[in-house]
Amino acid sequence: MGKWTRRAFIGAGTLVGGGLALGVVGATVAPSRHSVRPDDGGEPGQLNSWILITPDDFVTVLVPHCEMGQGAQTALAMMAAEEMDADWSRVRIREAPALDAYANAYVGRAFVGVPGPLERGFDYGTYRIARWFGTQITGGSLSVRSTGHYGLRIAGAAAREMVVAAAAERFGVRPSECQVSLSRVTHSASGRSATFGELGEAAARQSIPSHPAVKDPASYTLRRTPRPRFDIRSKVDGSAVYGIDFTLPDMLFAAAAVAPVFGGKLVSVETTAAEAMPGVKRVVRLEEAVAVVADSWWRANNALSKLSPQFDDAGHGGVTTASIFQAFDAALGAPPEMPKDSAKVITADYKVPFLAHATMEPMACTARVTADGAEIWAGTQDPLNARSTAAKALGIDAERVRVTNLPLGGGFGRKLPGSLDFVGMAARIAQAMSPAPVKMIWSRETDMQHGYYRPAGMSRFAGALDASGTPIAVSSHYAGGGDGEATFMPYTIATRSDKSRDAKHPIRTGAWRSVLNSQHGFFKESFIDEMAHAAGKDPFEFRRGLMGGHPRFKAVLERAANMSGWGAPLLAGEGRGIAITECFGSIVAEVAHVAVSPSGTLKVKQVFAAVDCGQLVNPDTAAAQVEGGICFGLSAALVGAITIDKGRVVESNFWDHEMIRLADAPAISVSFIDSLEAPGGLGEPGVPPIAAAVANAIFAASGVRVRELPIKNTSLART
Amino acid sequence: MAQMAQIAQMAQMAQMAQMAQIAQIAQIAQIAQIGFNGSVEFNLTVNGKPRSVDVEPDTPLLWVLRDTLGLTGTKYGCGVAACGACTVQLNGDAVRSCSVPVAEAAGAVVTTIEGLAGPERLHPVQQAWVDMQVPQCGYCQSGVIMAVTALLATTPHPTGEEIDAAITNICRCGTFVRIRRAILAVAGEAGGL
Repeated sequence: MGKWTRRAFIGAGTLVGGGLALGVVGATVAPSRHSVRPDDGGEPGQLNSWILITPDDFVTVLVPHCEMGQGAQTALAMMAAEEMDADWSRVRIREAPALDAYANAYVGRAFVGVPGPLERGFDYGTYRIARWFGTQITGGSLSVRSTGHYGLRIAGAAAREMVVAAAAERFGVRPSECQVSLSRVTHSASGRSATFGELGEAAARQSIPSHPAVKDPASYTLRRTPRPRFDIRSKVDGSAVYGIDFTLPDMLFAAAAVAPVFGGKLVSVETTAAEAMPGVKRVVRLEEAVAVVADSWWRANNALSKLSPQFDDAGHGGVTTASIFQAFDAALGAPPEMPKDSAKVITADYKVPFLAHATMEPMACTARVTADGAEIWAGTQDPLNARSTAAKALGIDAERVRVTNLPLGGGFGRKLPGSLDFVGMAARIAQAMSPAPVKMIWSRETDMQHGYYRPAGMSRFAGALDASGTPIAVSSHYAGGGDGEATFMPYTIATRSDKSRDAKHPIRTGAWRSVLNSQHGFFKESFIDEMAHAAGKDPFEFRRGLMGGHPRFKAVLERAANMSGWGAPLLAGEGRGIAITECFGSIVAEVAHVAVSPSGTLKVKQVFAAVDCGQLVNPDTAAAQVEGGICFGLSAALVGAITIDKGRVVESNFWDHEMIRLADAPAISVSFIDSLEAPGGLGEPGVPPIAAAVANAIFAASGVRVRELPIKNTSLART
Repeated sequence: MAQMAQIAQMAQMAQMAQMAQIAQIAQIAQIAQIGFNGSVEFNLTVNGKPRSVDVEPDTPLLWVLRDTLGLTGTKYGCGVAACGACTVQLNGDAVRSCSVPVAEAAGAVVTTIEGLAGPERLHPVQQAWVDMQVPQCGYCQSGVIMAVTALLATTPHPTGEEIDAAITNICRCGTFVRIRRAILAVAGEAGGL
């Protein structure tokens, strides 16, 4: 094994049939570009990034991340192929199997020791996810910036050196005399050349480079060019097999009703009528749910609807949205104190609701439990955690569970470790039906009412201006969760503080695309806008004037403003709003251009997004992630809410948990700052600025200040 | 068996029947205890092939396609015709198959995402989806593509308003910008479809 850095190793071997297999071991991730903390390197290491060169002259990249539309698998293969100078048309991608060998929990090794709660620049989203050791996660916008940057990039560079060494040996020349292009090593002086496929076996016998030379980003030829994703074709012809599509011969189907109040248990259920229905095999009682197993899902779900299961309410039957926000309000107390010499003080409260991930593919999992162990087929963001979840549910060792991860019909955090309840449930149902395989699908109603919701939250801000309109203090109390990254403002203000106040509730919450940044992005970027207006200043210029200490933010803000034609006249009833946030290592500024009719009808006409995500890999998928993040965030800003009554989720389907549709979607322009900085994430950073950008635009257009999401609950009519 | 054949015949006659009729068929089947367990044979044409299925008359076409015929390209999203993930074409019209009882599809021509491409190449709408790299997770896109092909078959050059009115599918990943771009690309080509 060759040593690459103090904390990562390169391993290589010969493939069966000849060829090179090469992996990077124990690569770690920088928690953010602000604070790289190397781990101790004491672990023997696990292989988490693999490249194979086979005699058919293909390079295969094994990616330890799932594909849920973010394009990570294609981007990671590009990072490897770039370093290898591989022919992109001869590169294949495979998702790594759910084995410990492919765990990417090395991200976690960077977090020995917990940061202070207000440490600036610490990537809390990553930290939160990385606490799940023994994971193979796809989350935290991590794939490119950890596995790609610290794994496949290095593996590609090492593979290239070994192939070149093999070629030099064959040609009897020095490696430095060889050139590599399009998966072919050439010695131009003698005119000899050989393909990667021809050299793979010999390459495997070369010594493993300890410090492979990675390319200067300025010399990239593949990266930073738009490349079609590998998985697109299967997603336009119906051939992609998602978790919900997986099928086995003689498979049974299950539908489940879960305790409506979180923590509730099944008390009783009368099953005779349901069990007599056509195709029904059995009614399976679980601690927190009841499931009907039948020979088709329709029959199972039909029979389920005939049951009237009784669940207890775990003592939470009195909880409502109002009671939760009353507790938030009480916990926040008086607004933060402002300096005595302030010329002007303003205060404001902001509220955001719970939100469902509402992945288009509802929770679905196929399980088969036999005396030999268990097999699981599902689309999750962490197949290793799916394995341990199933093992725990079944009371068997994880080594006896085999997980096959399948493409996800959306993830957004719902299918991360710690929230794979549906996998454990499917395993238990299959255990009851052993040895028959069972595919459990949650109805949309079950899915909508049993999420790990984006936490509801409330923030109470106070801000002070001096006589010249310069902010001298901005502070907040917040409830519902937050951290130093989510509350960070890139503005130089003499007094800044944010204090978390505890207000517990029993509603199940989890990581929702951008984690805590969607709430705090709305809070802080709405309030700074209110400060600007209180100071009588242009909201863009006001922010810009406070960004002297943060040139990257300033450049992003200026880019977004320029794209939008900031300051140019608009029609009556129209307005622009701006907001900027940073998360997962990327800075995004968005300008929303809205129109508000006199009767209060809102139209978000256009959104301009400027992004500094460091080095770009695949510009087209990068733009797609930002476009998607804006639309995802717009659903939350405009119409999305999960409300609670009697301890239960009220909303049950898409007709009452609304999403934006094509007619609501604005035109979106995305522009990336040309940067050679280390790559940041992109799956999430497009989400947080949009709600504030729209709310700020509404104020500019109509004079109505929206302080509570979704915006549909605030009348925008001018009276 | 004679009764069963009679029920099947009724179901055939009930092509495009309203829900009341479906309920009636189901009721008769139940009262007469026809079939092994309430199921009835229905004939339909799916992606150009005659298919026969033996299911309860109220079984949604979606589940017949997915679980009986193994055509999993059509997706379950909501079960209440609210999201469009299950959109297929019934005699050329875009319908949300989760809310179409199979009895209503009896005798009809059903086209699913698997039946859209020709033997040599993708349908132009599918090709536009590839060219514009529209899908992200892709789960909703079968339904979107089926709705768009139905729209463009009757309205080759739709206005923005016509597109907005016809394409009401939910895409949770938020690919709307590219969906619109791809529709306009197909519609903009000579003659549309």
